[in-house]
Amino acid sequence: MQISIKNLNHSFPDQRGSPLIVLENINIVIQSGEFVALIGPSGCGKSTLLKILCGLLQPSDGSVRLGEERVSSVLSKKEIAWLAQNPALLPWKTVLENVSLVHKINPHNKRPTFSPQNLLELVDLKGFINVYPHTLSGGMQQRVALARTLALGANIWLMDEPFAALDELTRETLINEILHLRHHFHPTTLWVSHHIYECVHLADRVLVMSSRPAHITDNVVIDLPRPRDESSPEFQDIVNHLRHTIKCSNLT
Amino acid sequence: MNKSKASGANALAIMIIGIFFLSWELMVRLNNIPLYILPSPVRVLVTLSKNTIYFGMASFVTFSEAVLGLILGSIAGIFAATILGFWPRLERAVMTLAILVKSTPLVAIAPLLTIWLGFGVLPKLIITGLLTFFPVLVNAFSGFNSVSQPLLNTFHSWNATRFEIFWYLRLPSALPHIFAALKISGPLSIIGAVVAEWTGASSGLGRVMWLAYTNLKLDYLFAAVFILAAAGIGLYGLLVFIEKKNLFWVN
Repeated sequence: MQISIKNLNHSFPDQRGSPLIVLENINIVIQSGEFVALIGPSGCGKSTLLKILCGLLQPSDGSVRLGEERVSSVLSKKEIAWLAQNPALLPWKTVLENVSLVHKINPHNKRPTFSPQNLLELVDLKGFINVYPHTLSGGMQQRVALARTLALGANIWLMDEPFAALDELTRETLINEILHLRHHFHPTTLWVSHHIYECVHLADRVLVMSSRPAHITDNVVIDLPRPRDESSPEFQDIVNHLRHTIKCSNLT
Repeated sequence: MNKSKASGANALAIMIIGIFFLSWELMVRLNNIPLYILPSPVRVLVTLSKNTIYFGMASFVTFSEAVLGLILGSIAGIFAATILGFWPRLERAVMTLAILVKSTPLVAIAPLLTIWLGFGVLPKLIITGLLTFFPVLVNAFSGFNSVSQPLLNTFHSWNATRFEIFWYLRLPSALPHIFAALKISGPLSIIGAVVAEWTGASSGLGRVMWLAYTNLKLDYLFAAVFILAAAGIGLYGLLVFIEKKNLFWVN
C-alpha cells in the first residue's frame, strides 16, 4: 500500500494561542513495500508526522492518502501497525495475552496472519509466553510489542523511534530481526529515528528533516546490498553525508 | 524489607501492645478502679467469653451491614465513575453533589434516616454506602484517567472503541486506585454501621454499646470496642491480601 503525503502543514497553538508551525509543506511518497527512514533533530516534528499518518492527530492542512484511501478508513481496518519507543504492554496480561489482544480488539478486522505463538517464536521469546511483562528486560518488552505489532498483519508499518530506549547491543540484535521480519511481511514502512547508523542499516531511502518548522531537506537512496557492513567505505560515505546534511539543516 | 527485619518489626509491635495492656491491667487493679469507670482488660475478655453468642449475633449484624454497605457503595462509586468517564461533562455536577454529601456530617444524617426508615437494616446500609461511595468514586475516576498516553495511542491505532478502551485498559488500570479507596472505606464502613446503630437499632454492636453505656456496664462496652478494633484490622488485612493476590503487577 502506497503512502502519499501532499502539501502537508501542521501547527499547534502555543501558550499565548498564536500558531506554532511544526510541519511545513511536507511532500512524501513511499512506494508499496518500500522502507523509508526519516531522520532529523529531536523535537523537529517527526513524531507529529507519524501521529498524523496513524490518525492520532488531524493535520491543519494538506492531504494524506494510504493507497487510495483516507487514514481513518485504513485505520478502521487495522491496516496500520504503529510502534513507539514505549512498549506499552498491559502489565496485568501475560506476554501471550498481550500479543493476542490485537485480535480481541476491533475483532471483525482480523487477518489470517501468524499465530501469536509463532510470532513470539519469531522474535525469540518462545520460552517467555506465559510470563508477565514486568519480569522482562526493556529489550524483551520491546520485542513483545514488536510481535504484537506484527500480529496485526498490517500493510503499513509506522515506527516512531522504536529502539530509542534500548542499549546498543539490543538495538543491533533487533535491527537484524527487523530486516529478517521484513522478508516475511513486505510492509510499506516509515521508520522515524535519530540514529544515523540504524537508518542506513535498514532503509531503502533516508529522508532528512530540518528543525522547526520542519520540511524535508534531503532524500538519500541507499543502494547497498543487505546485510550491510558498517565498516565498508560505501556505508561510511552515506553516514558522513547524512551527518553533514543534518548539521546543515539544523543551522538554517 | 527482608523477612528477618519484618518479623523483628512484628515482634516489636506485639511487645508494645503487650506492655500497653499489662500497664492498663495493673493500673486498674492497683488503684481499685470501679467497673463503671474502667474495666480491666482481663475482665473485658472474661465478659466477652461468657457472652460469645450475644456478641457473636451482634457482630454478625453489624459486620453484615458494614460489608454489604461497602459492596453497594463501591459498586455505586465505580458505576458513577464509569458514567463520568464516558460523559466527562457531568464531572462538575456529580462531583459537587458528592462533595455536598461527603461534607454533611453522618452523625447528623443518621438520626434522620432512622426517623424516616425505622430501626431496620436499610438506614445502616445507606450510611455505610455513603461513606464508601465518595472515596471509591473519586479514586476510580482518577484511576480511569491514569492510563498512560502510549497505551492509549496503541489502542487508538487498533481503532478500539470507547467501550474496548474502557474494558481492556481503563478499568484494570483503575483497580489499584479502587483498592486504595477500599482500604480507607473498609474500616470506615464499620464505624458507619456502629454510628447508625447508636441512633436507633434493634440489634448490632452499636445497640449493644448503647445498652452497656446507659447501664454503665463498661465491660460490655469495652468488649464491643475490642471486637470493632479487631474487625477493623481484620478487614484491612483482608483487603490488602486480596489486593496483593490480584494486583501483582503493581510495582
